Amino acid sequence: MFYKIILDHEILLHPKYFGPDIKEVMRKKLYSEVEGSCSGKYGFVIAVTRIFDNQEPGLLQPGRGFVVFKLKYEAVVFRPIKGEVLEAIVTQVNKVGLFTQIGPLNCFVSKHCIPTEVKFDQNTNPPCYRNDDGDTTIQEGSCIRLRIVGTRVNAMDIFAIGSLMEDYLGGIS
Amino acid sequence: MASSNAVTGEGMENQEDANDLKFNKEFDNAQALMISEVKLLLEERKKLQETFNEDQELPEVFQKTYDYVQQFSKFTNEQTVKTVRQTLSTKSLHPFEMVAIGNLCPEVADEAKSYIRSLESNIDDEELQEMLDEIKTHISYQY
Repeated sequence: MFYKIILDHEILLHPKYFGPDIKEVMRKKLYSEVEGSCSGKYGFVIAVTRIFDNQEPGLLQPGRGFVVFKLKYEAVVFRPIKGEVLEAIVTQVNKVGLFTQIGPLNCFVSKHCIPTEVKFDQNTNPPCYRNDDGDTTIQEGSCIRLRIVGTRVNAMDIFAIGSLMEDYLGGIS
Repeated sequence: MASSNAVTGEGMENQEDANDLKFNKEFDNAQALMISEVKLLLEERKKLQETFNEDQELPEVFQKTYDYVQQFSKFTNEQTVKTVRQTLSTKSLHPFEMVAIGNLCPEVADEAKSYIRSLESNIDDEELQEMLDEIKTHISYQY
């Protein structure tokens, strides 16, 4: 799920930036430091949408001359939540299952989480998962609906596990 | 290396479950967004980048999300997004449920309740079906 959320970030500035365009420098630094970052708590920070203006004064670092500014900003974040249904794009198909992408998130669907009547077919090009009547075909590039059954959170990345074992889940046109 | 696999905040991770509408407290004050709303925000952000810092490219995470929302956004213009939001908020649904319906646009009530299990106890089939039909109408009238 995508969220709009208010977060803070600390910026460390070298004294050479202390001048008339310090605000602009801070803005650019905030963009480059937080956009594209990922944490287990908030998920992927996609884009900063607003920076709040009433900033506290910066704090001078003793003995260094650097100043720490605490910035409050509003951002769009994406965080996978266990149990939610999402649409995904299949990026790789093989006998162990499907690798999919949901925006910035990689999600794996094991073959044990794909209904048993939908089987791996190695002989087609590209290889795919399909059932015997041929009305479901999942191959590279297909769009599918899956349920997130678990997430693994690393320090800098999130990885999800999905399932298709339910009515209405699977390929979509 | 063990540290690369370290699970941070595992305790709270286990409690979170969309099926019971249980979310982490960090998101209590956050606003859930539909894919179409994210699309509008990202387009604005991209425009800003193109006007001010042409030399700098937006990160990969942004680009991937941008492509994703372009592909999966169900509503093509701001007006439709607003009307759909309005339709969704007429019933007393949880923000997560509203956004999930808006993102997936299920055809029938049974499908919606299968995706979003908490709907089962929150709304009856007729009311839900009425809402889904209304959203479908909005989609067919968007330009």
